[in-house]
Amino acid sequence: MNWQNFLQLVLSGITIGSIYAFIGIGFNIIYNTTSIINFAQGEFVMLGGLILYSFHQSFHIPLIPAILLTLILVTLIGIGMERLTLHPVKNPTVLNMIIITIGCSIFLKGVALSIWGREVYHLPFFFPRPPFRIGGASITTQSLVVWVALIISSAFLYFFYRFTLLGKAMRACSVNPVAARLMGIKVKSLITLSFALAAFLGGLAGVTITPISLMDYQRGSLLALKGFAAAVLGGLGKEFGAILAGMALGITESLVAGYISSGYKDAVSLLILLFILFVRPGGIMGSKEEISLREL
Amino acid sequence: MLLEVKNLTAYRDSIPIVRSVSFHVNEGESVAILGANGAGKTTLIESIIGIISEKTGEVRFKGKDITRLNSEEIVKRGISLVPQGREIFSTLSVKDNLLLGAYTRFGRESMASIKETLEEVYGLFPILKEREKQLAGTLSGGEQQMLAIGRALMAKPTLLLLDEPSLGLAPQIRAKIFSSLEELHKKGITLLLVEQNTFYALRITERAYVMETGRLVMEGKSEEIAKDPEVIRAYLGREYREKWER
Repeated sequence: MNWQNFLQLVLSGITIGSIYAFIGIGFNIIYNTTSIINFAQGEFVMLGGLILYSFHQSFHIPLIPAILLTLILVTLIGIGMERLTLHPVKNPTVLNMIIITIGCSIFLKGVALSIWGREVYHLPFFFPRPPFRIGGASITTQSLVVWVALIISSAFLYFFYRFTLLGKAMRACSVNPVAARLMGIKVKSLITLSFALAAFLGGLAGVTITPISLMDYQRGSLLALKGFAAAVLGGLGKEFGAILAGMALGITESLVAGYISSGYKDAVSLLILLFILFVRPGGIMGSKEEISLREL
Repeated sequence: MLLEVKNLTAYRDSIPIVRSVSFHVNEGESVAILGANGAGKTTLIESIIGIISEKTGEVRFKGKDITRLNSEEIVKRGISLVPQGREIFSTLSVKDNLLLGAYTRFGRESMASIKETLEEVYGLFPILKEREKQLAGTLSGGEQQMLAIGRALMAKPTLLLLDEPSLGLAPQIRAKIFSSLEELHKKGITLLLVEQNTFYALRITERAYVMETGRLVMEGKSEEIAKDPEVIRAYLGREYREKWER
């Protein structure tokens, strides 16, 4: 076994893994307030990439303002989606809400198809420098951008949910929405806020990963599937769990693709997901205690 | 009059459960609403605090109409509910549960005054301080009930509504919960207690209403209701009679 080759596979696995993790933490945000999985999360990622492409490449807006505009626009789309579809539903059940997000996902994909077509879009690296070399393997500058963005976002979320009143109130909404209202918490406004936050992070993921993964109108759903696996594997609602699980998935995929065959990589990550769910239904980081309490 | 309910009819899935109910609670009073399972007690209390919005009639609190307000607004105005089944935030810590009880006070009041209420709650239920870092769902039933009451008190309510606080608790714990309610009432909190357990409810309240199939069928001083054999036979059941005679 060639050491350099192995290191390279691990490093690219970490990059792929951080993409999954980034998308995974977007699922966590909405789960933490509503106990639902937002199936349109991948579309926020896709819109982040494609909108940035239009702003930067088609309208020639410089990169930083283009990124800011993209994030604002995707956040507004997230808010709009919640306000127009979920918000008006009276006493929605978890299943109702999940089905609504599936509808939104299909709608957003359709809109993207009509605007950007079926083409695959490509963005340049944010810092066009040659890759760094570590022990004979190389890391691109864009991978570093993804890692830094991921670490900052997850540290922020960790702090937000555990140490701020608003974060705790959001978690309370997911555990028991009626009791949350009895505390004077405006549950519906916090749900809107969580969609804004999830769309922002989804957009940020799309913006940072597009130079690596490329983007087209349906790539969001494919990425979301893996991001979903990372979120579930890490324990829904756990930001660092999603990172750990995303990395594990990414590295495994990369090693399988490198040493066995790239055809098996998706199967292997899904097998890992199934296995972990059998052994630890709460995910790697999920505490058994918490899971059993949720089911009460 | 602190709370005044006039001709309130409240619905669940368009079926009227509470039918033109009128009653009132004076400031500083302790009032019970008694009735068997299914009499409509929970629906009545949930429509007062705004969880049930399908209703007609009028609810006035401190002289102002609150019938159409949502529960967030009503809580802000000084009514708290200890819901049936406790409904604590099971995956959050005991302390976080209590702090969320004071949610409407953050930003309007100083952190010091919120901490002061927290200490008062810990004074009333010392076990909660011991367990403050534990996940709320890991507490025993009695402790969860204490947490639910403590959480409602964190909002510093003028009127505390309690929906069956003794449900599913062992007798000694039940006695402890009721004695802490008595203590709260002595401190000046107005209580409106909805209970099936008439024995205790009549002992800690001054006035009581009896509810049957969605209507209030009688009203009186708790002491007198407790001694009236007719009422007990008709509404309050055998279990109560035996306890009282003992």
